[in-house]
Amino acid sequence: MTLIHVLIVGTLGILAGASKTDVATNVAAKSVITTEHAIHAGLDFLLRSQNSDGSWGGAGDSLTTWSGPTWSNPESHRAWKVATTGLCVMALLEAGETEEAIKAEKHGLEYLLANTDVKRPSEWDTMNVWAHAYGLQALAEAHAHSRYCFSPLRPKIRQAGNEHARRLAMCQSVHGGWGYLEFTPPRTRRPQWGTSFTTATALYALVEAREQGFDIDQGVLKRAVRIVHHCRLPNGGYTYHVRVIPNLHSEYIDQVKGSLSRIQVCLVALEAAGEDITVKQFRTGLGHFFRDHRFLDIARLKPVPHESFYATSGYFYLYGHYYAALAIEHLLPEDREILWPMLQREIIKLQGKDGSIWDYDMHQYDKPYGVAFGVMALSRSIRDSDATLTGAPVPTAETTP
Amino acid sequence: MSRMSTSFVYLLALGLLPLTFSGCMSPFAGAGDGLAAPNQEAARPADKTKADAADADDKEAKEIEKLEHRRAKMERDLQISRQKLTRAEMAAKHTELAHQVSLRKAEMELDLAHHKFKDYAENSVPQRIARAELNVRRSQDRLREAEQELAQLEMLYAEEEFADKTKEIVLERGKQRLERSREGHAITQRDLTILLEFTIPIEMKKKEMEVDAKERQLERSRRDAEAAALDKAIALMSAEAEVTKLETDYDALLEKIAEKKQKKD
Repeated sequence: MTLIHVLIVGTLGILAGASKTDVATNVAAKSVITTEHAIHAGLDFLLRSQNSDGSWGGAGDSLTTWSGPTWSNPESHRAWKVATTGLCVMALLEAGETEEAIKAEKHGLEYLLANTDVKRPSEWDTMNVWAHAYGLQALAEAHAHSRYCFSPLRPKIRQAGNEHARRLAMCQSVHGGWGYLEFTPPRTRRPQWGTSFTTATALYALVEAREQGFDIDQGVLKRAVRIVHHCRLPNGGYTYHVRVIPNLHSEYIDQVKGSLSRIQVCLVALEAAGEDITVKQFRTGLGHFFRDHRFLDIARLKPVPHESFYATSGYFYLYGHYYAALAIEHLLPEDREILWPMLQREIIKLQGKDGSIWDYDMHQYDKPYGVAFGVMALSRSIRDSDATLTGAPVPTAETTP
Repeated sequence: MSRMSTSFVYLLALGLLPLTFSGCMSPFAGAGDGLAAPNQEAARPADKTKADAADADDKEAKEIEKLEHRRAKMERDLQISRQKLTRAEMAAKHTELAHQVSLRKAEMELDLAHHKFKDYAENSVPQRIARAELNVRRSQDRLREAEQELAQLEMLYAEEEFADKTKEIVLERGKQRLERSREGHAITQRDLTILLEFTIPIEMKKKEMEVDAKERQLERSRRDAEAAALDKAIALMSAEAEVTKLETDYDALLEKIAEKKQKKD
């Protein structure tokens, strides 16, 4: 709860003779209602914007996308479409409860099942990694969901998941990470470049898939874990590129202010993979995220990637908030109580009248993936708030390792 | 007056002409020259004196006339000489001004040459040397970084057999970069040596020669100015002498004419 909330509601509460606990509960409840509304509006947007084949997103709006002419390869768009559909399916799995939502989710799932064979678009373009990472994660979460426990789709889900995992293993870089572009000739079949955050995204998906019993090569996981660790810097940030020797400049992308979203996804992925990530590390990372949030705000909607301070880009905003939500779940209750409303505010403030939430103009993928990230993050905040309100057990200092 | 004298002389000559012939045709003509008719002998001494006087007058008048001609010519010559003197004075002044400008220019060029040399020696050379030494250090850094990167790559790939072929390519690239860094560093070091031992000494020599040339130019300008000034002074003096002489001669001539006229009157 914010200071302003406390002052206003607290004053009203005192005048009304309400107790401090009652005031806090009222503020939290109001927050839940607003967030629920935002989630529903986002889900409505997803239902309206789904393509007829079950996918979300598309190659349109090339004129307004800054890099529009660059992405002329249809396979690049197929990769993004699969990734965006994966995210939307995840959002519906997490928050969709109506018949229409479930129907849309199933239609999206069918699209994912039919589109696992995403190829590397070109020698320099390896955007297929995003399709495999979010396609795999969506399939793993569907496999875990109660709606598909006894569904005839379940074996197909696992089979499709395995295919994504196999292709992820094929495009793992020589150092064990993943990237989405290849720069240095000679460009090899096995990529040579990678980023910390793409690797962490794929790692998280692989771990969820492993938990569902999918066929995951342990070597692939081990290499990925090692390289995410390798990207960690003494300042608490994570390098953008997977570099043999980090190259720190005073205002460069690898400073903490340029690493706000990467910190969240890397910590979350490492923790999920069983690495020793403490509550303190999550707390410090989230502290950076919200204290230096203005750099994400400034970068949002800027058309040219990395043109903002510390080379941040707009598309890290909602991506970062999704993984920040996953990170907040590891904090103690008193810290979660502070950070959930902050997260909610930073997401809800972006929502348009049509329910869309977006951070970067990118063909027709921006709003669906933006809503998906936003809805998933908000759902987690509500779930935790619900638990707090109803007295359900939540992690405490004693129960959290 | 002179025309009248001349006419009188002609008349006199015509009048005396028959008398001269009659004396020649006489039966007694061959007998003795100078024998005049008895009635002409008594008038000859008076006529002779008169004629002599007329002759003398004529002669005097002719001389005066001649002197007047001379006077007029001399007057013109005097005017011309005075103009020449004015011209000589003007030429001397202009020459002095031109040489002052020329000297000033030569002095400024020499000063500029000194400044350029100073700037070269005190600023340009140390900067270039410092920059070249910095390049050597940077190249050394790049070489060290290439060595470190290759070592790190080898460590990173050492742990397991994965993507061997691609690893080989990456390591090979790392080795090539290290080798190019070594070659580049050697060239950068050589660049510094060449700069110190050849390039800068040659340029320094050229700069010194430029300063020398400007100094010689200034000296030449000074000498030229002196010689030209002297020439103009001589020309001026000659013109002045010419004018003085003509003025003296003119005055003398005027006096002579005045005397003659006075005598005649």
